[in-house]
Amino acid sequence: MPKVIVNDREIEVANGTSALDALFHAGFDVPYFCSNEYLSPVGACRMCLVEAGSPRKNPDGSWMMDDATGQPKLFFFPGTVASCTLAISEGMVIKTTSAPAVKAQAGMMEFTLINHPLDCPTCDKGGACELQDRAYEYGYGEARFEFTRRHADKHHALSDFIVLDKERCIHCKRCVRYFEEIPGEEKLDFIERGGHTYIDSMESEDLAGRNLGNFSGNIGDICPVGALLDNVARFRGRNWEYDCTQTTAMNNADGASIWVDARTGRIERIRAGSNSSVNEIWINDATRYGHEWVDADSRLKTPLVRKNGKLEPASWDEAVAAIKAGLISTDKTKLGVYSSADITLEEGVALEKFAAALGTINVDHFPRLNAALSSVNRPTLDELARADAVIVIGADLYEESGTTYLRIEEMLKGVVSDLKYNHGTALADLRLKERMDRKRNKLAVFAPIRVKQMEHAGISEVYAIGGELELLKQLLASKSNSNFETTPAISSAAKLLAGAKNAVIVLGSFALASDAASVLAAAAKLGAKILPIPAAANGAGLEFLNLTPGQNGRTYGQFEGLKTAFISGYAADRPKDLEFLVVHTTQLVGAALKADVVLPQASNYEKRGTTVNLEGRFLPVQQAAVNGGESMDLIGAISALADALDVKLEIRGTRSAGRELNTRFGLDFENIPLEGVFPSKKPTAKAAATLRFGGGDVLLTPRMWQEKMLIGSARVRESIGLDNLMLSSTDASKFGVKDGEKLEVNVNGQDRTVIARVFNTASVPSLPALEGDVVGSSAVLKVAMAASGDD
Amino acid sequence: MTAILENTAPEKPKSITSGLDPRFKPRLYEHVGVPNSWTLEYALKNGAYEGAKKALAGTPEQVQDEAKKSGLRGRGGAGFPTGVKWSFMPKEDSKPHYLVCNADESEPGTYKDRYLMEHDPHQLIEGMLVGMHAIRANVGYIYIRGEYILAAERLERAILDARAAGLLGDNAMGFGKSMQVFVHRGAGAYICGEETALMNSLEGLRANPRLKPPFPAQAGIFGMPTTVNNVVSIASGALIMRHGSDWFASMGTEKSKGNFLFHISGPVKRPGVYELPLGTTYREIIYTWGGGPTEVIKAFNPGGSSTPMLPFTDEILDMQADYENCAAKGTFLGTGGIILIPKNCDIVNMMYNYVRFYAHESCGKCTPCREGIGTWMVRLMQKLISGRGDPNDVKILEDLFGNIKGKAFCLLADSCIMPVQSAYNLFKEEFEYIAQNGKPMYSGYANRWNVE
Ligand SMILES: Cc1cc2nc3c(=O)[nH]c(=O)nc-3n(C[C@H](O)[C@H](O)[C@H](O)COP(=O)(O)O)c2cc1C
Ligand code: SF4
Ligand code: SF4
Ligand code: FES
Repeated sequence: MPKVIVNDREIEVANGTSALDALFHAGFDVPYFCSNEYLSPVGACRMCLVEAGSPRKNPDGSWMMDDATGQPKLFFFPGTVASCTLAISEGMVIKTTSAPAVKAQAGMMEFTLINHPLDCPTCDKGGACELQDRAYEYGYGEARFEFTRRHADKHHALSDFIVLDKERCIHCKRCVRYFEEIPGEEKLDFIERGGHTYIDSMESEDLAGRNLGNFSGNIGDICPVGALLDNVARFRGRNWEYDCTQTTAMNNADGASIWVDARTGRIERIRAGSNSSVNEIWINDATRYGHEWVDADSRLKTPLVRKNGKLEPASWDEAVAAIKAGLISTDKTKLGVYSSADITLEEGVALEKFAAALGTINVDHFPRLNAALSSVNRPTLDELARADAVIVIGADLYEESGTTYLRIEEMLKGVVSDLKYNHGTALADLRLKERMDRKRNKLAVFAPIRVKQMEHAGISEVYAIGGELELLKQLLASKSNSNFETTPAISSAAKLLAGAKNAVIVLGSFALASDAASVLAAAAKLGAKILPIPAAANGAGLEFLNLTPGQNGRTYGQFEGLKTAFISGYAADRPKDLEFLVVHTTQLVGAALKADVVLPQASNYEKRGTTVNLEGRFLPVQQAAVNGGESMDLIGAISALADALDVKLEIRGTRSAGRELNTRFGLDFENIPLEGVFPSKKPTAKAAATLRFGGGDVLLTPRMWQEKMLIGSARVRESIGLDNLMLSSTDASKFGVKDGEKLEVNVNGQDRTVIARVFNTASVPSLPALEGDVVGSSAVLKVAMAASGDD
Repeated sequence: MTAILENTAPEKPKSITSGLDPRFKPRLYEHVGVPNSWTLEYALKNGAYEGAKKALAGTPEQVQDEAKKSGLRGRGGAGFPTGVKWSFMPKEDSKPHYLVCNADESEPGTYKDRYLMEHDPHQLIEGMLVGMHAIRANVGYIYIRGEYILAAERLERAILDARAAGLLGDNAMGFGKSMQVFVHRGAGAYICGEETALMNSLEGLRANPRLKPPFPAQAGIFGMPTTVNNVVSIASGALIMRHGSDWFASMGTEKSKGNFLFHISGPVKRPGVYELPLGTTYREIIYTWGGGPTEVIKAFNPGGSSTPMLPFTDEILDMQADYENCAAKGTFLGTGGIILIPKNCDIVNMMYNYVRFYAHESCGKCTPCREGIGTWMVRLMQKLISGRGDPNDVKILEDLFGNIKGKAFCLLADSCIMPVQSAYNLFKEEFEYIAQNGKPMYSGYANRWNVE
C-alpha cells in the first residue's frame, strides 16, 4: 500500500483513498462540510484545504530526484488544495498544520460564517452541529464582517416532515447530491446563483403535492448545519438533553441501525445509525418518523380487565387474578399461544418454552411464510450491492425493504468501496461522481403492479398476479435455452442471469405470500443467490425456534376448536367461539377491544434482545429511555400468564433467554456487536403451512408505513399516499367496484382509503362480503368494505 | 529578441510582428464589415470550406500535426496549444466524441468572437468541421452567449445553408462522414464560459463547474470525450488548413505564433477589434491602431477584465504582446481585450464595478467565491466608494485577497481577485485615500453609481 506522510507521521493507506481520509487515518483533522463518505466528492465548501505535494516519476519509472537532498523531489500544489477531492499517491506529503493551511482553513471558516445566522440557541442542531464544532476549533473567534447577513425564509416546509431554514444553509450540496445519488430520485436542487443561491424542491408549489419520496429524512442527518430540520422532532429538545440509544429498527426486516433519542421518557427523534454492511447511514422515512404512536395518548400503559362487560384499568396483580379465573379450568393443551413476528429472539424462545411447559401444540408467529428463509443460499447486502445481475420478482422494495432498495441503487452505480477505517466506518470513494451513469441493464424487475424500481431497471415487466411460479419456470427454460419462446423481458432477464457470475434474485411479498416454499424451490434452480424478504421484522430469526404449530395444531388465524387463547401483537378480531382471550398489545384496537384481559405491551424501543435481519445477520436490540408505563415485553407477559396458570418457567428474563440461545447458536447473546454477526451454528429452521390466503382474504400492496404508525401522527396520516387493494374481476363486478376507484377500508383498526385494482385472474383472493379476518402481506388485516360500489 | 532570432536562424525570414509589416494580411476579420459577408454565397466566393476539404481529405492526426506545427494556442484565455489539446482525445474507442465551440464570450472588455460570428459565420463552421475531424467527432455544438442574438441567428442560418449545400450533414462534402453542427444558446451567465460549467449547461443542468479529473477529453458532455475550444481557436483552425501552418507560424514571436484579435475599450479614439500578429507592441496596438487615448491613462488590463493590470509606462507600451511577455509581467495575454483605465477614474470606483460583476456572476457553488466575493468584497468596496470606509477596511480587503485567491473551485474567483489585487498593488494610495477621507482621490467618473 502506498506510504503517505501527514505532517510528521508516515502511514500506509490503500490506493484510491482521498487525502482527507488519509489525514484522518493518520490521526489529524481538518474541517470539512461537503464531503460525505457515501456521496460523490464535489469540493464545494473548500474547508478541507491542506498543503500537498508528491514525487513524480521519470519516463523510465525512476523517481525524479532532488539534487540538494538526494531524496525524490516533491512537487507541491501551488498554495493549498482541497484534500477531499485529492487522491493520495505513493510518497505524498500532506501538511494540515502548516501556516498556509491553518490560515486557509480559518479564512474559509470565516466566509462560511458571514451569512450564517448564528442562531444556535434556538437551533435543533445546536450541540450536535458540524459547523458549530468546526467554528470553535478552526474559526477566528471574532467576526470582522460588519454588514447585514442574508435574510431568507427560516421556516420553509420542504415536506410534511422537513423544514428548511434557508438562512442556515451553507450550500454544501450534500442534500442535493443525496437524492440523486442514493435513492436515485432528484428531489432538490439549488435555485438562483451566487450569494442568492438556495435549496428548494421543484416537486410542487403546494406542500400537499410534494413528494420527496420514502427516503427524504436522511438529508436532515447529513446536513452539516441546522438547515434541514426534522419537523417531528422540531423544538422538542436540545441535543445534550437527549438520551441517545443505538439499536436496530424493528419495523421491517432490514436490520437498519438507528439512534433513538428520548427525553423525559418520550421518543422525540429517530436518526439513522451507521452500519456500513447493512443500511450504511440511510433509513427510510417510516423508520425515522413512524414513532409517534409509542408516546400517543392512546398507548396502553396499564393492564385492562373486563368487568361487567367493560374493560377497566387494572393492576398487573388484578390482571393475573383475572387470567387465573378465566383459564384455571381450561385444558392447557387447547390453549393457543401466538405472537406477532416482530419480537426478539429472547421473547421468542420464552414463548417456545412456555408453550412446551403448557404442553400445547397450538403455537405460532405471524405473519410468516410457509417456508424457511434460511433454506436458500442468501447473499449479504454487501454482496447484493456488488452483484453483477439482480432480478427482483414480486416485490415493491421501495416499500417493503428500503435497505434492499438502496443497496440495489448502489449496485446500479457499479461502485462499492471496499475501503473502511479499522473501526468500520466507510471511507469516501473518489470513483463516485455526480449523476453517474447507472448500469440499468443489470437490473430486472418483475411485479404484478408497476413498482417504483421499474423506473431504474433496464428490464421490467408487469405479470399477472400469482404468476411467479410460471415466471420462474420460464426464466429457467429461457436461461438454459436461448431460443425458448417467452416475453422479451423474461428472455432478457434470463440472458442477464446466464452471463452473470454473482447474480442475486430478490423475492418479495407478492411472490412469497401464498406459497413461498414452491417459489423458493423454483428460484433455487436458477443458480443465483436468493434474497427472500421476510414477512416481518424477525421472521428470519424466529424460524429457528419451535414457534410453529405441531401436527394438527392450530395455525394463527385458524382457531377452530380452541377454547382459550393468548395473542401478543395486533389481532384483527376475537376468534369466534373462544371462551377466554388475553391480548398483549400497545393499542386498544381490533381484537383487544373484545378481549377479556388486555396486557400492555412494551414497544420494540423499550426492550433488550436480538433480532435477525433478512440476510440472517444477528443484531442487537437496545432499550431506549422510553417510559412505557406498566407495559412489559413478551417475557414479562408470559411470566404473568405462567403465574396465573401455575406453570414453572425456565426463562423469566432476557438474560436467561439469552443463555438458552447461546447454546443453540454458539453466540454470546449478551454481546452481539452493533454491526451484527452471523452465528457459527444455526439450528434447522422450522416451517409450517400457513393459510395466508384462505377464502375471504384480500391483499393490500405493501407499504413502508405500518398501521400503528398512523396512530398519534396526523402528519403520517396525511402524507401517506393511497394504497392499492387488489381484487379479482369477479369481486369487482359483484361489489360494483371499478378499477381505479377509491374505497374506504378498515385495516388493523385504522381507516384508510385505497384504490381498487382489478385483476382479471383467479389468483386474487376474493373479498369478504363486509368483514373478515385475513393475513395480508405484512400484518393481519381486518378489512371492512364500506360503501363499496354504493357511490 | 530580434538578435537571438538572427543568430540562430539567419536564413529564415524575419517573423511578422507588426500590423504595419507589408507581408501581414488580416484573415480572421478579412470579411468583417463587408456587405453580405455572412452569406454562403459570399463565403464560397472567398475560399470558405477549402480548408475543411483539405482537412477531411487527410487523417485526424494530420490535422492535429498541422495545428501543432502552426503553434496555434487557445484564444479563450489560457493559451493551451490547440493541436496538443486535440491529441488528448482517445484514439481508439467506440464512444461518440464532441467538439464544443465556446462562444459564451462574457468577459468584460472582450468582444472579438461576436463580430466574427456575425459577419463570417461560415469561417467558424468551417473551423468546426476541421476541429471535429481532428478529434473524430461527428457532432459539434456552438454554445453561444444568450445576448448574442444576431450572431446566433446568422450562425443558425449559415448552418442551414451549409447543410443544404451538402457542406454539413450525413455526407458532409462527400467524404461519407456525418458532420452535424448545432447552436446552443446560453441564458446569460458568465460562468457558462468556464468549460465544465458550459458542459453542464449544455446538458440542461445548473451551470456549476465540474470536478476535474475526469477531464473533458475523458468524460465531457454526456460523459463522452469532448474538446472545448474558443471561437477564434476554431476559426484559426480553418485558416491554418486553408493557408498552411507555415503561413500561421510566419507571424508572432518564438512561442506565440499567428494572427490575434486585439480589441480595445476605454477612452481611446478608435475602440474596436484589430487583427494583428502576435508580438505587436502595445504601443502600436493602442496608438497606431486604436488612435491613442483621449485621456491620461494610468493602467490597462491586457486581455479582459480578469487579467492583472499593467501600468501605462513606456516599458510596458514597448513590450511585444505575447503569452510569454505578459507572463513575465505577472499577467496574461488573455483574450486580447485591452481595457484602458483613465487616470482621472478612481481605481477603487473602477474596481467596485469589476467586483460587482464577478459577485453577480458567481455561480454559488463554492464558499470563497459565493461568500467572499459575492457577499463580502462587494459590500466592502461599496462601503469604501460610498465614503463610509475606514483604514481597517483596506486591511481587511488585502486579507480577503489571500483568503480567496487559489482557494476557490474554479478560476472565476481568481479572475476577480487578480485584477483587483493588481490595482491595489499599483494604486494602493487611492485605496488608502478613499478609506481615510471618505472621498475618492480622482473624481473624474464620480456619481457613476447610485450606491444607496
Ligand atoms: C470564469 C471563466 C469564464 C470563461 N469564459 C470563457 C469564454 O467566454 N469564452 C472562452 O472561449 N473561454 C472562456 N473561458 C476559458 C474556458 O474555460 C476554456 O479554457 C476555453 O474555452 C478553452 O478554449 P481554447 O483552448 O480554445 O482557449 C473561461 C474560463 C473561466 C474560468
Ligand atoms: S440544506 Fe444542509 S445539506 Fe443541503 S446544501 Fe444546505 S447545508 Fe448542505
Ligand atoms: S469560484 Fe466557485 S462559486 Fe465561483 S464560479 Fe467558480 S465554482 Fe462557482
Ligand atoms: S470537504 Fe468541502 S471542499 Fe473538501
